[in-house]
Amino acid sequence: MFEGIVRFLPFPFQAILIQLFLSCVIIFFEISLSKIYFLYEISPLFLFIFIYFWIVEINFSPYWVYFVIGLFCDLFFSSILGLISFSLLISVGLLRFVNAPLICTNFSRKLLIFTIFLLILQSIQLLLFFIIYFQIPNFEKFLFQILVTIMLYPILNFCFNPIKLFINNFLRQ
Amino acid sequence: MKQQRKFENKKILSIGNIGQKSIYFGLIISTVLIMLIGKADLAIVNRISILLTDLSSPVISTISKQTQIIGDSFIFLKNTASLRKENRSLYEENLKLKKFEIISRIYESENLILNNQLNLIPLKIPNFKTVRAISAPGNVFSHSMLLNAGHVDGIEKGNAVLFNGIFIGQILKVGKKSSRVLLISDVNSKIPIVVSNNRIPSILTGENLVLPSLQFLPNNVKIDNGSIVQTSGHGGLLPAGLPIGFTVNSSTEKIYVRPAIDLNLINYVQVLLWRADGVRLSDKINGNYFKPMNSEDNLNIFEGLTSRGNRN
Repeated sequence: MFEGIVRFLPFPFQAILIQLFLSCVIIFFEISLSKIYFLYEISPLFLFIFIYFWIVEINFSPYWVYFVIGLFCDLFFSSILGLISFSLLISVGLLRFVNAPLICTNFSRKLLIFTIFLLILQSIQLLLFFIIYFQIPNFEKFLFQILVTIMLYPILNFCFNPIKLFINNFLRQ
Repeated sequence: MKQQRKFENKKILSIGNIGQKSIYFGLIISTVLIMLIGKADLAIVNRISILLTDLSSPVISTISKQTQIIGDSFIFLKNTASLRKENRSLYEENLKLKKFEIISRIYESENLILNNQLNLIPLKIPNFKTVRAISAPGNVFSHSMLLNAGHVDGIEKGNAVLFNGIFIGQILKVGKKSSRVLLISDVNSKIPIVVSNNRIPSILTGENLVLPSLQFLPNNVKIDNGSIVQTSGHGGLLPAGLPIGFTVNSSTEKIYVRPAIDLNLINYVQVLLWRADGVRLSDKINGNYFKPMNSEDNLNIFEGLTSRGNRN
């Protein structure tokens, strides 16, 4: 099956397939993390770290990929279908507008842009939630979740490095 | 090395450039439309969601078992560290409970005598299933939980979900082998309740905060801090008398309800297979739903019908 995929799909689609598959695994992992009592409602946003990593270290995928990932995430996480996909599309659009892979020349810049990316993404979700329900969810937990994610970014960035090497090796072949 | 990487990845970029702008705006518009469709609660959206949840629940269940081990070990470490303190508090609690036991026995016997005097028909004890909670809320926007049991196990939409005898939510979506629970703290949750000390009816409304609040309380009603809140059974969707928590008065006029259990410690839950009187479960199982009449039959539906409902 794997051989068939490799033979018939051109490389960009293979990379997209890998991204989609890894995103699904990360979503499942993120969901199951909430079972740990101190991560209840505040499980780190690994998916957004992964998406940012892919944009900065590998490259932009077509927008429909983010749309699909967001929608898949919505079906599991959100009570409002389209909430995550909408905010993800806007944030990725902004990253493309500022050409994030070219700006992120060193680690501190990467971290700074990731913080801004995450803040924008979560703020859009918060805003949409407020528009729909006229209610603001637990703000402390909301901020804490962002903080935990930013704190985990360096570790995960290091952990995701093999993916970058794998994709680059794949390209050379 | 960096330059080489960028060059290498041009291949990926090439696919991304084909009409990206128009696709981008098209996708944004479609997400907005999806939001509207999602709010309309269409059957097709629910089916897709249920299908995806059904397919992925074994994977999530496997991963969550591992994370549960990590969580449990943290709890074990925490408990070991505070063993002496916990022992003391348990001793004090035990003394208090012994007093309550004597009082409750007196009340129990008194209740039995009164029941006999009134010739009371006993309530049906609802049947329940104990199922494992696969996942808990991962973010602040949605307070729902995934269970590893579906309609194969007899679970239906609207069933009450309990944890250690405390009401925590209702079944929202049911798949073949998985179901989703809407917790009482979710913004979409509205539960008819009574405050037990003076039987004041109200609606328990989730706000995606730690504590849900009471809404639509009658005017000029004073509720004591720590009053017990339980389901009222109004509307017939939930059984009456399921305990939920205690009232918490705030500095504002709003009254919050503290659930009697910690929602973040949920692992196994009980699903009550309860159904209000008048709803025939067998009809639903056999697929005998309400069906609208054919338009052709509908033309003469009231023809020859008298005001008393008899046909000429």
